[in-house]
Amino acid sequence: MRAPVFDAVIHAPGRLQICAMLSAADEVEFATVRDAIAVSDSVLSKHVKQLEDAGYLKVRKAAAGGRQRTWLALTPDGKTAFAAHVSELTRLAGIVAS
Amino acid sequence: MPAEQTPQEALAIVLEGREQALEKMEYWPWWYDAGYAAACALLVAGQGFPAPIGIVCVTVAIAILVIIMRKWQARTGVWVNGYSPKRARWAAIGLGVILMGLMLFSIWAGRMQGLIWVPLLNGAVAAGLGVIGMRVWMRLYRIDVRSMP
Repeated sequence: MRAPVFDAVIHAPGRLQICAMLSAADEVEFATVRDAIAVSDSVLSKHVKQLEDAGYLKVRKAAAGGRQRTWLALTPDGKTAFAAHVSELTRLAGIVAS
Repeated sequence: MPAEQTPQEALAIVLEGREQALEKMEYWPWWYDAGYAAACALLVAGQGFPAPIGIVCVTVAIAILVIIMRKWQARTGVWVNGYSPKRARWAAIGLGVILMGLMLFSIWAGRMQGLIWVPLLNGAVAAGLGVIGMRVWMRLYRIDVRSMP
C-alpha cells in the first residue's frame, strides 16, 4: 500500500470518481466517463484538463468507426497519487471509525 | 476534504467508480467468443501445415484479434490489456504458454510426423481453451480490481 497522502486535485467532486474509473482500466473513453459521472462534456473537459495539468492523466485521440474518440488514462504519476490518496482516505476512515 | 463528505463516503465513491468500469467490461457478445476462438485455433493449427499456410493462418488470426478487440473497445468504452493486473497477468501468461506448447506440438506432429489431424485437433482444443482462458482472466481481473487498496 502507498504511503497515505491527501491530494486535493484528485479529491475534488467528480475527479475522485474519474480517477477511480480510470484506476480499474487501462483506458476509458471520454463519453463513458461522462455518462458514468453524469456531467456535461464541458464539465468533464475541465476535470480532465486539471488532472492533465497535474500530470495525472493522459488523453489519446483515435478515429474509430468514422468518428473521433477520446480515450483517458491515468499516468504512472496519476496511479501513484491516486493509490496514495485512497490510502489516506482509508487511514482517515479508520480514525473516524475508532 | 469537503466538509460534507466523510472519508467513508469518499471511499464509497472510489468503489462505485471502479465498479462502473468493471460493469462496462461485462460484455461477451457471440462474435467476440467466436473471433477469439477462431484466432486461437488458427494460431495453433496453422503451425502444423507448410510455412505458406502457417503464415496465412497467423496473419488472419492477428487480423481477427485486432478487429474484435477494436470493436469490443468501441462498444464498451473501456480497455484493459492482459498483462497489467497481478493475478490476471498469470492467467494470460498461462494461456500463452499452453498455446505455445500446442503450437510446438502441431509443428512436430504436422510437419515432422505428417499427422495432419493432430494440428486440427490442437486447433480445436486451443479454441476452447482460449474462450475458457478469457473468462478466467476476466474473473481474476475483477478480483484484482476489487482487492485494490
